[in-house]
Amino acid sequence: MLRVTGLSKGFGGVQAISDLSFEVREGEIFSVIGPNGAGKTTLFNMITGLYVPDRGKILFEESDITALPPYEIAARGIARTFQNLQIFLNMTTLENVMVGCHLRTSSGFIAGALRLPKVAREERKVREWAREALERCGLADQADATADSLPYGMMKRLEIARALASAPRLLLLDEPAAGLNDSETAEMAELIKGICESGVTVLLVEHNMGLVMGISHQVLVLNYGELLAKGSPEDVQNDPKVIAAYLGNG
Amino acid sequence: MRRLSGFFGLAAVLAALPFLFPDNYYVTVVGTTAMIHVILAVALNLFMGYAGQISLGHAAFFGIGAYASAVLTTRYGLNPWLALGAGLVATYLVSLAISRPILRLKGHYLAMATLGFGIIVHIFLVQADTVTGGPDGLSGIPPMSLGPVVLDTDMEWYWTMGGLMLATILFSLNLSVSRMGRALFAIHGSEVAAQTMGIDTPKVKSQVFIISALITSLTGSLFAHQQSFVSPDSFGFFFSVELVTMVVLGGMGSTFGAVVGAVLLSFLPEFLTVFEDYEVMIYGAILMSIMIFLPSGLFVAVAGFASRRLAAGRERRRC
Ligand SMILES: Nc1ncnc2c1ncn2[C@@H]1O[C@H](COP(=O)(O)OP(=O)(O)OP(=O)(O)O)[C@@H](O)[C@H]1O
Ligand SMILES: [Mg+2]
Repeated sequence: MLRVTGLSKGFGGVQAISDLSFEVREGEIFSVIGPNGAGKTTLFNMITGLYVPDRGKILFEESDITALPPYEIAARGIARTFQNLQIFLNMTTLENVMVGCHLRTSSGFIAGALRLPKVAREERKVREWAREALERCGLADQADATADSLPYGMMKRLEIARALASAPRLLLLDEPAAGLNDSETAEMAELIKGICESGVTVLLVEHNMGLVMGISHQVLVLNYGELLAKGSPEDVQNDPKVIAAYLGNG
Repeated sequence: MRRLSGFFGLAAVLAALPFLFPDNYYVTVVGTTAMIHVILAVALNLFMGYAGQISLGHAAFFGIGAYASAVLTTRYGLNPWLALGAGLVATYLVSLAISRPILRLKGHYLAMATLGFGIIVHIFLVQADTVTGGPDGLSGIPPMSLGPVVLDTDMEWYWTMGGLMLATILFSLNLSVSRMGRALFAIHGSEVAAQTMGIDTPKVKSQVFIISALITSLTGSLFAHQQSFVSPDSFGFFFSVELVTMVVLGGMGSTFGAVVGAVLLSFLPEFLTVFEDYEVMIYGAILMSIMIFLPSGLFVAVAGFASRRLAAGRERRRC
């Protein structure tokens, strides 16, 4: 579904990603792990069009999306969450998720400002979709809260709800369990599994090994921007190179 | 209809005032000026408050509209409505041309670029005196007519500007609960997240800038006919700052915040004569104090406080 070949990206002297290739198959949970600074977020930023790769190609469902602007990549069906939260703090929880429905609707400035009948119908649908997404992420009772009043763990789930509202085919999650306690992490694992079972392919970056090894179909290990190992969770855990890298890094 | 209760309340007050205070200077003259300011502030708020951008050059669009109408009607005898249309076309082309390059900038840089644009237009109005009349301006702008009615009394302008103001407010309120309105708020909240949710942020920012400029230009054309005289003084940097102060004073992002800010800053000078001598300083002081003490703005802060008090009152009664 997603094929990355020979991808490279440097920042000045730092080679954040070098010559990386891998393929994500439809319907799986594909995890990318690696020490801090390994280049995981940089990889996500290239897949979603926020960074332009120096070299290499990104193919999504057989079409080249390398260096397309982010909104066009989103339109192809790729949604994401952010490691450093990017919530719309000036809006309510529900409105945040309604923004997620942008691509599924079409009314423009004039139609909205004149509140044409078509717009009122569209709004009802958008509210319904947004409430569904909130429900799935356990935020239904927070719909009318302003987003900046939510506790951290809920903000993490709000980002997922917002991404789901766009009905993506591929969902990129950047450290969804960071800063969550054990029970919240367990809920997060269930949520991600459920998303995958509903037919959305998941690309996951996460430091919590229990979570990654528990739910992933494939795991890729990055180290200083290079692919260190790739395979099933068992293979990767038993790979001597991986063990050495993790022990070596502390 | 609860969503529009403020709008209908305002419409009722507007309709009642001339009957409660007939021939009152503060209603017909100051009131009409205030309504012009409200339209401009609400239009600027779409760009500033909704989309989180900044423009220190909006007076230029007001000037392009006003001068298009003034020049084309006095020098070429064009029908006022055609002149108004020409002003809109000119504003559309200018705002379209500058929007993409300028809106790539953020924060201070965007402020400087729009400031520069405003200054260029102002200098043009002053220097191109064979067309614009230079610093002395243009007088003898003919009245315009609305259907069979020739707009030449204060009361007629009161109703005309009142109608346009209500239309602008309704436009803004409706937009705020629509798809593109949410796209603007999203750009304000996090441009990166907005992009990854599929919002074409360069295009949307450019669109809202153009819409805001067009409303401003339209109002400028009407202003020229209402005054029957224009001079560059009305369209300089200081007027742009005044508009920004109105939006910030009431509360960025809130339509009624812009209304309250514009009304306050239109009436204050009438009651505080010190305003005349220290106008620039007072605007500066207002901007600074709001930024420091009430960053969400007067209207937004007061409305928020009132609704919390009401909610608290309901809680107590329930217990
Ligand atoms: N915009 C940028 N400008 C300069 N350097 C950058 C930029 N983004 C990332 N880097 C550098 O690229 C390297 C990889 O960073 P990245 O954020 O991708 O790591 P990561 O694997 O996500 O780490 P973490 O687990 O801490 O989130 C780091 O050395 C980082 O400093
Ligand atoms: Mg990261």
